[in-house]
Amino acid sequence: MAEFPTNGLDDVVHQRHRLGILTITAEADRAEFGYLRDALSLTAGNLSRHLSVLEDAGLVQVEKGYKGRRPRTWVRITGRGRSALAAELDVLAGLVRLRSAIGQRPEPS
Amino acid sequence: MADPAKRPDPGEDADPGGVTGASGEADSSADGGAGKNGGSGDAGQSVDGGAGGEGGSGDAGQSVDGGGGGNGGSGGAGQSVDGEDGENGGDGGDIGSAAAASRGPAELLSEVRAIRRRSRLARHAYWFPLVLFGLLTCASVPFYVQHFPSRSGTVSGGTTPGPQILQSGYFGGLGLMGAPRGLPYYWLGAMLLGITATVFWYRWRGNRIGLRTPARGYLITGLVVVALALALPLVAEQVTRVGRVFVLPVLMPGDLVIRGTFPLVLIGLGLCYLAWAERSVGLAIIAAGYLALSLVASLYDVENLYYYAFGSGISPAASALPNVLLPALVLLLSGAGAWMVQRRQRAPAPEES
Repeated sequence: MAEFPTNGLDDVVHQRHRLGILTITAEADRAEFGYLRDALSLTAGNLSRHLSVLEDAGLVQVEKGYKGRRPRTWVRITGRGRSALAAELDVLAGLVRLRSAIGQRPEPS
Repeated sequence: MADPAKRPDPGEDADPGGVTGASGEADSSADGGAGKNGGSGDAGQSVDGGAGGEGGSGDAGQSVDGGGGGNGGSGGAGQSVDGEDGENGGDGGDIGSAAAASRGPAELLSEVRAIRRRSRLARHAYWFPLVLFGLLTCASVPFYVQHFPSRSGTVSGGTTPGPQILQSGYFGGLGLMGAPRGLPYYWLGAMLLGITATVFWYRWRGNRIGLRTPARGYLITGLVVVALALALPLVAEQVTRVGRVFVLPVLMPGDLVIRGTFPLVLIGLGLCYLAWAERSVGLAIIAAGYLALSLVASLYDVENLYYYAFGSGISPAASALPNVLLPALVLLLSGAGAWMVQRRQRAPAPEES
């Protein structure tokens, strides 16, 4: 029996905001903490926690630095993070296809 | 996920702990029903979520339609990915899990696409290299003014003084009659300046908006291309043929370099790379059009088009100028247009009353 598509979902990546973080960082060379916070409408504390989860999973790298006196935190997606994001999007697309296929099936009488 | 430009008050993040806690509570309540009613159902394996009604259960995140109504919600294992969420759906550390579960895959995918589109729009800054290379091309015009008979008294283009590496036809323009000899020097300097300034521009802008475009690849590719343009003619001179194939006509196909406009082709290739780095369809279209135009300018005397259009030619001294000015005009106009579009896209939306 074929594996159900949802089994391919990665719990770390599937979370909506973490999916957003990975999507943004995959688009750029690096994304700054403030940009991510504003783009995803997260609080700083929440974003930090999500980043910790992703960093622990080896999906992003967090680099801290300074611009003048202002501390700045940059987030960079790793190769593993890119693969995980691609896999997640594939699974989601598969689920959408599955659902539309089921939607087209005639109702049982 | 909102547009950062529309975020009302980023300052509220000053108290992460408190805000986080508040969010967490909201989630807890959202998930609470499911947690308590949950039990078992293993809705996760049901395609339509199996979430509605009392069957509910814990793993709506595994359901195709994301759980749906009733108390199907979430709060189950799927949402406790951090191991931080309790029975009631979390301590707030993983806010959004419930929201994720309640979103269907189609909705999540469209959200991802929207985020991606916004990120790309935020990164787009290609007006600068367009304008920069347009201006650099305009500044090269004096090097294309020809003199008949040439200043040296001969009718040939002659050779460039200086190191042999700069005799390169790629930067040179071997067929320009009596034109100033500094063309290869100019283009070498202009290319290096243009590439470096473009990389600095993207770096500066990335720091400013908090989202960096990968420009290192452009720098490396640009420098490698310039180095190749300098070195290949020398290689062709040393290695005249490989097997039965003559190297020179392959590496430097006659007309492509004779008008001295090959640097425009290199600029076009650079813009193609930038279009890829920016993931910009707009720049890709501009770059492809410009590249085609620069090839035309290298392979054909654009002056002829002027003649066909207006029935009269351009003075011999200026006959090479349309080859340069037309591509420059395209760059400048595209750059100005891109600047206006990008400025409008970043302008904050008017407040709704």
